[in-house]
Amino acid sequence: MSTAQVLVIVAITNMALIIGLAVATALVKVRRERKAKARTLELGMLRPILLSYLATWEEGNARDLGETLIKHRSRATSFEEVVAGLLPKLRGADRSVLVDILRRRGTVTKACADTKSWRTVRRYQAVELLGSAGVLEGTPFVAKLLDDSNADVRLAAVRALGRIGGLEAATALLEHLDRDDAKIPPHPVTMALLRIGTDGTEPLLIGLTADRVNVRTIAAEVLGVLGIFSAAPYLENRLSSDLHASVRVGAAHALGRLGMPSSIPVLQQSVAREQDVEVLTASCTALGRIADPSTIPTLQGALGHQSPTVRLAAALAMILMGNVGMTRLRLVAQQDALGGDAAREILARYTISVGAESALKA
Amino acid sequence: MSTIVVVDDDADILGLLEYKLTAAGHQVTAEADGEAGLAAIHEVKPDLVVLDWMMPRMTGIEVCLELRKDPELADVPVLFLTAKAQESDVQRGFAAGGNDYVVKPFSPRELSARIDALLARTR
Amino acid sequence: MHDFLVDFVNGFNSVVIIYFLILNSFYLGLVLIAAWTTRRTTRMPAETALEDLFANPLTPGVSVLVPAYNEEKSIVSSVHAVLALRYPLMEIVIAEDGSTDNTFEVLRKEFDLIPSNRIPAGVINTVGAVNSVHVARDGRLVVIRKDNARRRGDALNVALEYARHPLVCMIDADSVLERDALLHVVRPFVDDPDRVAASGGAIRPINGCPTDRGVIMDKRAPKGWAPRIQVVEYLRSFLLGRVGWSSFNSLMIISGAFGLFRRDLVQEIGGLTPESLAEDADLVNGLHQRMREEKRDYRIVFVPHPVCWTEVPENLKILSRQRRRWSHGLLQVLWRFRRMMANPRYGRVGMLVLPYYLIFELLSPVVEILGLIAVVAGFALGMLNTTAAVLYLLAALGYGVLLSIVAIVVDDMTYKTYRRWSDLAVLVMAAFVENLGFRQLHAFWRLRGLWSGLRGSNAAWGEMPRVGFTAAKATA
Repeated sequence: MSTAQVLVIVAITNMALIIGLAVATALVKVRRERKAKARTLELGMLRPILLSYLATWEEGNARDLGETLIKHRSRATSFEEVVAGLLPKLRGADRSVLVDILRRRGTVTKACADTKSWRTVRRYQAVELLGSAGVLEGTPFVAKLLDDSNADVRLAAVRALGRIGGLEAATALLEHLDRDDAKIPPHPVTMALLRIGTDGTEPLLIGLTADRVNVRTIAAEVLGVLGIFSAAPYLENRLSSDLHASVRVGAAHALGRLGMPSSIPVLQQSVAREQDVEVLTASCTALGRIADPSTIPTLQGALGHQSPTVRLAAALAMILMGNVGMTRLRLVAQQDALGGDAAREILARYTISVGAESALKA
Repeated sequence: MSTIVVVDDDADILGLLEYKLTAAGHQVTAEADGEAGLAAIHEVKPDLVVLDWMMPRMTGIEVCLELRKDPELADVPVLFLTAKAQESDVQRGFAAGGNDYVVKPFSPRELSARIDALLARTR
Repeated sequence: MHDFLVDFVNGFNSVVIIYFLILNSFYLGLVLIAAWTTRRTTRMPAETALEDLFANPLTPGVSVLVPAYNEEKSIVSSVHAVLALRYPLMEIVIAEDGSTDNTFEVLRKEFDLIPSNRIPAGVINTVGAVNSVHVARDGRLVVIRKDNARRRGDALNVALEYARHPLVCMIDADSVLERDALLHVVRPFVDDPDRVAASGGAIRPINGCPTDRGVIMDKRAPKGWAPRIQVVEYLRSFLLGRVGWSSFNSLMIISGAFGLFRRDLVQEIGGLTPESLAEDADLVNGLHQRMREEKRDYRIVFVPHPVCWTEVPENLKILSRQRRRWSHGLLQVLWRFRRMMANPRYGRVGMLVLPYYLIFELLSPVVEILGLIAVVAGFALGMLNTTAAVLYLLAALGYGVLLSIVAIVVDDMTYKTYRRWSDLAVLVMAAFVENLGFRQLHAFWRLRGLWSGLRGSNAAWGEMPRVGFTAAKATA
């Protein structure tokens, strides 16, 4: 074939494709616009019913509305879509009422079945729905998807478990993370555990002594944020004896958040002996949160550390001790030695006496 | 029967509150952004305002601060309904003149109870 | 002799045509991959993920680095716009680059700046001397006053030295970011913390879109043909090109208009290269090089969701300067990383991406102009086969139109950016106009940029007038 013939073929194909694409797109757009109109219409009809139902179900005379919603057969839009928008924004009885309607429509059962679909998007959407609905019966199905082949689905499963909540969900997450082949990243797991809250206390305490560093660190941080006081002795143990710095950092953060005076000796020891800069900083910050003036001498020692972050943390902690700490800090600020710089900066930033809590925002 | 102005850029929540409060017997004006909300408040002079925080054009905090400057509206109870849940945010809400602060996700039932309490107090 | 010339001209034309066929076919491949990826991603919405990211107290902080030179009029609103972004933990680090106006005063008053003793990390060598460091009383802002070194990259490096959070974000002061922009680009880091080194967002031209106090009210196609053509270009290269490259971890450029990097890695490679005219491409390639040399498992990710809107040149004159600078910059980057070129040690980046950019991006204006000359000369000398010439137009240029239309279609299907039929029609027309006239002009500008790069790439920096940050703000 000569070049000219090749070119003719290419050119014609090209033109045909362009025209074809333009026409196809136009057709699809028109169809989509029509569908969008039908959808808006149907939504316009559904929403008032739904909102009226939510507004009046407590009175007890909304049964008809309820039946309409349950029996509604979706055409252009799905009832689930309407509800999906509302569910994450609500809490309490109204939310349970909505979820109940979903159950009676069979949505929940279908979603559980869809978690086994071969289509990735369907699995994803099923998991998101189970998460939004927050139905406990979905837990085993969602937990299975922590092993899914698609990364986005795995992450959606983590988030959904957080929203579903309960002991089972927390256990599933931590157990999954504590594996060599764990395919889920720690950060979303942390958020999920935070959402689950105190229901997860038991697995979290167990997690403090898990084999993997990740798990121990997350468990420590979450216990602190959730304010689970019973964890304090275990956290103190982690701070003094765990081999990995990140776990010790987590433990220090947590002990600071828990703010228990019984943790002071361990924290002071950490400030005095730690080599790792991050752990040191965290321990200083923790002492600042507990705000016991007896710790000032220890902190003053840390003011002389070679790392500027440690010096700043120590200075900030001292200022949180109130007048005693501030006076000591002012003395240091007048000197040129190491620590003076941190003292000066912290004093400059907090010369107006602010409450301890907002100071910690820094 | 009281007049309430609800301002929230989330259409779902706006609709829900409109329906719920109307069903409870109140007269409701709903607006979807801060500026429109402020205008409505000036016009309607409501008995209570439900205010979202993060909105386009004008935030809820800004609306509340503006409200408090007007002597006629300085006493209108303002309830913040927002996703901003940090301690510092709650402080800012009250500092701006808010009377109550509800965090999203919220319970509509609880919200109604709080609204009723605020209305009862100012009667 | 005459026969020889005829054969030569026709042969040359064939080479040119084949060149464009290969280029456009490869691009089509990229585009199809991207189209598939993008559609899939949008059917798995990100709301819950972003929600969790925002609420998580352990979400990594972001230091937003802002170089500022003589921006007294706009700096405050720019800073407020960034502060208004939806993100739980951030600081803004401004390197005030020896401004001759009141940039610093304006900042000091607005944000209540006090002296700070924050010290630099001491990892990167910077040129312009640092004179003083200030923080806002509430800690959200850090301002470093330094001497101007006539290089934006140096200001960025200084800001980097004083940044505190694990992630650093580089933006152009006049870009408009969507409210969840930071959440979108941080997400890859959080979902894959061990590997993700950098992420970039999609940039769209904001020309023609009505805004109100930094928020985009409506998405419209711009009025002039120059910006219209750029809209189509950006759709093609961002929406499709970069998504495609990113899908096999070969992203070479994260736009300086909006990019997020791990601070420790940027510090490891010594920060940005101040002399570079394309510091964004330079930085990304630096990361690729270091990661691959050390055989580390890493990813550089492109987030296709439209998050950043920036003003593009409205007239051809300023556009020409921008494109010349880009070409010059590309040459600099390819030269600086020539070690990676066609070197299997650097995997896909060395074997695929850099050669592609060399042959099909840097040198394409050469081929284009020569091809054009050959066609015209051939006509003039009566040596040319008319059919071949026409077909050249259809094959090479028509193919270009096809790609642009595919880009517009994919954007419409996936993001529905431009709602009105009239806007879409205008863009389709722009796709045609782009290939008939603009493209050739563009090739000429790039050629000039290439030429000044060849002349100046070893010469002193001072030769190239610093179009700098003001170019981005170029409106007539």
